[in-house]
Amino acid sequence: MVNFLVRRVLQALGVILAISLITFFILNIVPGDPVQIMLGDLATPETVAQVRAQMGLDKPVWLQYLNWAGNMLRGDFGSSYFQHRPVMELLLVSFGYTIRLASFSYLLAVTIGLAFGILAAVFHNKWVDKVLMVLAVGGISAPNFWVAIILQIVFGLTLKWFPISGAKDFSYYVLPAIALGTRYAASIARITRNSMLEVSKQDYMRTAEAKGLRDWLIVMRHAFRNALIPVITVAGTDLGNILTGSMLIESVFQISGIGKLMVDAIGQRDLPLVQGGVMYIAFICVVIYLIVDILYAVVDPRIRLGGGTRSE
Amino acid sequence: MSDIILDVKDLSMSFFTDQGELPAVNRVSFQVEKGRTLGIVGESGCGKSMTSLCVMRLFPSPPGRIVGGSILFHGQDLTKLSKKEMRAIRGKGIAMIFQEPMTSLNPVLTIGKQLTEAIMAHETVSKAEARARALHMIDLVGIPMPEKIYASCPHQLSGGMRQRIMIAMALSCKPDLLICDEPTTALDVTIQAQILDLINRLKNETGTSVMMITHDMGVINEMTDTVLVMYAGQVVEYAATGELFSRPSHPYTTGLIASIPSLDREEEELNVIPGAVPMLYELPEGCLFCPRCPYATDRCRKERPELSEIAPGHQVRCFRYSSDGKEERP
Amino acid sequence: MSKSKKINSQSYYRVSLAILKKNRLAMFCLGIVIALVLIAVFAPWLTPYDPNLNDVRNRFKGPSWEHPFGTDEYGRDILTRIFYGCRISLSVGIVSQLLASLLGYFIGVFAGYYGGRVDSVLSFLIQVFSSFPFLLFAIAVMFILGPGLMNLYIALGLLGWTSTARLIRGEVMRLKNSEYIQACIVGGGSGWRIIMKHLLPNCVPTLIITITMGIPRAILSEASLSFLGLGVSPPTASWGAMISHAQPYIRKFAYYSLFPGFAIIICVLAFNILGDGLRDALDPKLRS
Repeated sequence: MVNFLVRRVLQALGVILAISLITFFILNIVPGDPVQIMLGDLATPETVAQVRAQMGLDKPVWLQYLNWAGNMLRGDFGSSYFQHRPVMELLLVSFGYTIRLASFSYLLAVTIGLAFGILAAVFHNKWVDKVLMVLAVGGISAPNFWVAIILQIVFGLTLKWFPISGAKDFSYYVLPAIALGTRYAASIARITRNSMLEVSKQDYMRTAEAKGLRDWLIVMRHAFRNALIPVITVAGTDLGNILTGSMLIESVFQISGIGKLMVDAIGQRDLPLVQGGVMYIAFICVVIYLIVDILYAVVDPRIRLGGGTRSE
Repeated sequence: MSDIILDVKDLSMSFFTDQGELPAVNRVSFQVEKGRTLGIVGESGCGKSMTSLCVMRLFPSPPGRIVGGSILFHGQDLTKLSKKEMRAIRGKGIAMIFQEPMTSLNPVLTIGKQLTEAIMAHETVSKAEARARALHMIDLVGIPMPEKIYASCPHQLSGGMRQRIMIAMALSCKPDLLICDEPTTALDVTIQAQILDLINRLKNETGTSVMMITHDMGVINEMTDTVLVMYAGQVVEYAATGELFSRPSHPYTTGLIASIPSLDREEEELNVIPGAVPMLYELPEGCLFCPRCPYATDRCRKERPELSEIAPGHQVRCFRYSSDGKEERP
Repeated sequence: MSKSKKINSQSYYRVSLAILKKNRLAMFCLGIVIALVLIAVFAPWLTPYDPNLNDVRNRFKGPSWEHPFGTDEYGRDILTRIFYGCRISLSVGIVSQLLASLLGYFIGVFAGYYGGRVDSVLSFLIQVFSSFPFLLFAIAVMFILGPGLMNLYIALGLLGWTSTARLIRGEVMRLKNSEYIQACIVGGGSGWRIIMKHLLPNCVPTLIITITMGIPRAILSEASLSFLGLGVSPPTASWGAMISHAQPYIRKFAYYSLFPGFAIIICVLAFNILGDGLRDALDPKLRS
């Protein structure tokens, strides 16, 4: 287990390094001089050169990268061109909103997804299964920003049940969380169902039945735990997708989280803010995937204990 | 009569598929006496496993359905029980071990968990008692260091060990009948003998009856008291083991016995029965075995023979011994 | 049945087609996909209106005979713009996925076939690119490249290859150990020849599945990017951009945001169900 952990953490560090390189180099081939953009067209070439030197943009690219990466390690993501405040500070302020929205929708996605997936598998080929799976394929096909707008029209403007913009209390998060969670609830439901059906064909399921166990024990203890392994992968990736998806939802519902911050930064071509935001979300995702892999090991003793005579 | 614990009469089970009704088990009758071993033998696809799964009501359903007959276990007809009543029998009255020890245990649960849950499903015992019982069972099936095994996971054990665990699990609620579906097929030869010895020893110690499903005539010879030879879902011969080996009567049985590799006889090649078990959707019109039978006549190709008793307790399904008395033995 | 066997193209695809034909829902969705392609190709002949011509006197007309879906904030016919948006969605979906599969195939095949250090490097690359939400990456790339159709192809194509690469890598590693490929290797076949002539035909079913499954994802990503203003440049009609333009008017002109959304759902749904059907028909593991 320790070996596995160490290897996995090292790998994650490698991935972060690679992502930082990619992000830095991609974002540094931005067409147009960022300093010119920042200072506006009226700035004299002398001022531009002066500011460039101030910001270290006249140095070689690799030195710029080392500077940037070194600063990032210290939590310094640079300053926003437009808001003139440290990127890190802006990110931290917005992070609370995003994390609230993301956790509500993730909770929703996982509970609904697992429940519907198990139901569909238990009632395989019955109408419950068919209805749920039609809903699920609809769910993965609808763009979440459009679902958000429809929810605003129906539950916000017409029925007036929930507010449609801002984030003052819990009621403000209901519609955004549904809009953001639907798609992932649907994808988790699909994978849960398929995985449960796959597991139900295994020999050990027959053993469990031959023991005379109750149906729900067979489903929950024997089928579900095995079925969970592929579900964890999808649910893990979905957490990353929810963080990204929140960009669109936050801007529809005017919630000032990281997403909206990034969308605004994109509109203003605020390079440090976009760069910092991307790195920040990417970093969170790498950590999430690391946790997913550790969860794997917790669920599946073949990974945890190693040395299996049989690997799937 | 009271020592007959399982009495199967005219049991028929069919799969209902696109190709119509496929009779996987066709009017099968047999009895298992207390403390004795019944063997069911035949090639793969002959319906022997399906017969045993019918007794447990564990055949795939749909598409499978019992279409006739009865399975009397202690006088109670298992085909008429509700799901809940059947659940009370499984594991407690009748237990089963399967062919594939490698995949028959749940990979994500510890051995201990899988043993205790079998005990706790049927008896109101505390966790500590169940644990003590499980440790005792691990010890009983001859595995050293029960404590260590109790805490380990299936993938850490060898195939033989896992089959021992399956046996321990099956016997943990002291069932009256243990069904072994090809318990040694997937194991190494040396391990096979050990597992068979273990089953025999535990049978004698606990007084449980055994249904031994196998394709191996050697296993039948060593382990069983009576034998049911099956072919394409039908019983073709049913006799006491000694009687069957001294007087094999159905050509299929003769073929199976002849195909046992022998060290005494010096043979150029193994005796095999030519051909294969017919698929259920292309059963021949007459006797099901006739396409592979060296004695097949025109009558065999047109009519299906019934089981007939050629000696007390010895039944054969073949026209050569049909009840009209015309023995056409070569 | 046997995964290691060389795919006997004719009978294999005939059986697949028969399975697919039996799946009525998938066939219906295939019909929708064909209809959408026809709409995309013949858009100019299907409508009398110009998708980008402003007509301020006709702003926000509700649905009527002249304008079945009404008109938008510049008086443009919404149905016409949906027809033209279909062009963008389908072309982005198809072109980017072809690009992604090409990339995914070669990365996967090199990793799987050469193994060793090549595999380590490529697998790490796969891991890096997939430990990053797809859309986030696409946003970053579009931010750099700027709006435009060509840039969408590139962004979505260059980023969508990871799942293909991973599947192909697994497939090739399995195939490589089959007697058939081993025989080619022992017989002195060159790597390139084996990759193109023997491995490719065996990977085609996987590629068909990943392309059909990737198209709806690319279409949704395009819609999201366009919604953020990072898709095609205005005034080009795109479903995502239309929803974005409709958003400020949801109080008074709710219908405006409905139609492009339905268009996306129908299109993506059809590809998703068709993809499920194709997977069921082509995956040898599911055949019995």
